[in-house]
Amino acid sequence: MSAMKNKLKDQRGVSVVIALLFFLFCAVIGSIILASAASNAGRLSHMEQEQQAYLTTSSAATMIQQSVNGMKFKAVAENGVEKSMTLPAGDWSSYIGLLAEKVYADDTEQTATFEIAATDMEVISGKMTMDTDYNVSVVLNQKNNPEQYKMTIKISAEAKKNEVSHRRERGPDDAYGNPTYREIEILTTTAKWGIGEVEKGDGTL
Amino acid sequence: MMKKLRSSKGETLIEALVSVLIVALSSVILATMVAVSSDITEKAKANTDELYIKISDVTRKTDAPTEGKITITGTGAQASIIPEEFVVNYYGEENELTAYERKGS
Repeated sequence: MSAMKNKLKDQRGVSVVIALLFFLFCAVIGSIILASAASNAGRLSHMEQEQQAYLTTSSAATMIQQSVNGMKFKAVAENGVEKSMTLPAGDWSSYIGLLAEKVYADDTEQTATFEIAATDMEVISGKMTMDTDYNVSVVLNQKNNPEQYKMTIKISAEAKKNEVSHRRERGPDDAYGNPTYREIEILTTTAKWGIGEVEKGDGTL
Repeated sequence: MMKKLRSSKGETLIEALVSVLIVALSSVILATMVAVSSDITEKAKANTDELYIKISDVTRKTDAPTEGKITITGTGAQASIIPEEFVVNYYGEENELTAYERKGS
């Protein structure tokens, strides 16, 4: 027991122990500083990629938003029979027109999916949905990384569905040579899309 | 007290030299690590500044655009729709940050 006490109180060789403790301290502090600097630099190296991913999705979103702004759809039916249909024109009109035509025919929500490919950029996948009031919602995401940089464009429509009007049309003369007229019911559906809003995420909170 | 003062117990010259060497080496290693960290941080800062300048150029559309095209392809039930090409203006250098917008907007 006393030998142990002597050993503990022995001060010979303590300078080496203190020097080794100092070395340990320096190594730990140095490693922490170096690791934090390296981690910071590593995080920044992904920033450019992430920024490009954001620019790709937001460019697509802005383009759709601007293209759809001002598009119009009009369908006229007389006595329940489709008479004429005016589809939107311009970029993206084939998708908006297709969905509007289907919503008009079935009165149910319709969806269309597509991909946008731009030079030297990631491919964007999109899902366009048109509800029964012709409001459009487009969810965009990176095809290879669907959970990153999702954006939703919500475009409200000023829609007037089946507005009723009448017109008189001259029919065949009766047996006495007097003109006959018949009343025709005209149902007009119109939709006009505005500028819309771009939101982050898939539009569900 | 006198006994303590007259005591010849202590550390050998080798022990003292080794201790000094370890302390010196530790100091040099710490100083090197701090210098390298500082260098890494400086480079990261420079890269970040450069990136923000690029982002600013692209989003503010300061450089002249390059005309190009994007292709829209229907998928799923819309796969039968003929792929369409829209003319757009590209902003940003090649192999750098790039954005585009509808031509004429």
